[in-house]
Amino acid sequence: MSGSEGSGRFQPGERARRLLYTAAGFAIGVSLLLLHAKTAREHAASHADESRALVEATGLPDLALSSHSRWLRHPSHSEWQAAMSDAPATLDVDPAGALIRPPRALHTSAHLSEAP
Amino acid sequence: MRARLAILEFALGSLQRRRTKSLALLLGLTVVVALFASTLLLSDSLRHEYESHAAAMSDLTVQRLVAGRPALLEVTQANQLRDIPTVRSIRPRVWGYRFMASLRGNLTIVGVEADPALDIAVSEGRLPREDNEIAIGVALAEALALRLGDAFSITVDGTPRFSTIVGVCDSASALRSADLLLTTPNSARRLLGMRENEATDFRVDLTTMDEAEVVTQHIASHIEGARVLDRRLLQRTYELTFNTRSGLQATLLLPALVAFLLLAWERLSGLSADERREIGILKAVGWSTGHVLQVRLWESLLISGFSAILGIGLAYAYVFMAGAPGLSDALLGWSTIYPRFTFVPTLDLSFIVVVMACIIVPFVALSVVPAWRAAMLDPDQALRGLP
Repeated sequence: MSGSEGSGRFQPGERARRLLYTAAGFAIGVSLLLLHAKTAREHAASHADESRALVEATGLPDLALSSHSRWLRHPSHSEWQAAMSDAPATLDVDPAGALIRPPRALHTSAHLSEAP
Repeated sequence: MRARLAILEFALGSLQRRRTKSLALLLGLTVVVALFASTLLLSDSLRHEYESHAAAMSDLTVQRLVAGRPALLEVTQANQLRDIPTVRSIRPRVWGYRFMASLRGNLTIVGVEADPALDIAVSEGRLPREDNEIAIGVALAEALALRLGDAFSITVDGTPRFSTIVGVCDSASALRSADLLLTTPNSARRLLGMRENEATDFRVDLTTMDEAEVVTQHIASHIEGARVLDRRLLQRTYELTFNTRSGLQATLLLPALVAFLLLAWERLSGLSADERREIGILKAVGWSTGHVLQVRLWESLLISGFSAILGIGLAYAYVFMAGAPGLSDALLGWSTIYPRFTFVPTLDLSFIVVVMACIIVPFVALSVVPAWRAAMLDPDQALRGLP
């Protein structure tokens, strides 16, 4: 039934051996990826104090990915109409708005309190 | 065991005989997996970065809205809140944006209280303590070719105001400090055009977060138009911000989904004449339906398994080694001051297992129907090329 037919007893052929080697190679590759990820995380953690102190000093934890639009620079602190205030009835004018979602959880429930 | 190995051997031979088709399937599925995995890896990494220091925020942040837009608070309003039970501290905060024409971009100016314990926030120098001192982010420093000790001028009301750079944040905190200009609260007011008794918002710390909602109601009754942000909700927001529902991810996954369906359709769309003849011969020499079925399933398993691993590897290299060109450009939007950052990998074994399961299980499952149809062929009809 295979490449080793006719030998009387079946032995794994060249193809199966190559598959085994390929699978082993892939396993080693995945292990190296995981090792690289772990090393990078440890390196980042060793520099985390600076970022933490910066957040404590400013009180602003948002990332400076998109500094052009305030609702993307500080999504945690922007009012809910921010994205629409400069260009009413439009889609988000900033391309980064496609990825940085508005913090909808902040716009609902009791924590949004207004004076009576 | 020997029979299974023989079937595996035959499946490998079958893939080899149809090398072009097998490679096309492998490459197509690899691209789909790479797209899928890279968006997941990127969003995971960003979510992790967002969440990592969210706990360092104040328990509550008090803002004020007038006509739906943010308005400034009077510093004296903070005094009305100090007597609320469980309020441990209230600190008026001064911060805002200032457009720099030379950079065609916004600076984020933040007034920080002098605290030597927090000087580690800047890698070079220290945080500002005097009104004519500033600390800046590394991206801003590079954009303006500024170094520690240099003078920096911002024109306010037609008059240039010079400040000395006493601190520069380094690339380790660039994701948060790229566009920052830190100075004292008084200096921040002047740079932002605010009056002496005005603040952007209040940072409120509580003795216990259990009372946050009650305190929120108190604050709302004291300050008209108050908007109170709860740290716990912000943390939850970060969990949601970069989830799979975000717009760009959905856009990216759409072609991946279409490609995946096309592949599945290809698998379901019947057998070639060569394949029919091959199955006819196998059944004529004694192979059972189960043997043929196993061969077809092995083929699908091998293609999808290797595609999944290759796709994850490609996605990892694209996001964490190449910096996700294209995707990161979309993240930066119209920004002109942006950090040079490297994403911190969140990859672990569970991610690999989940992605592989998401690809292998549906692909193999989709191949069951054509595999069964192939295995049920009558050998006589298959050898004579009858449908």
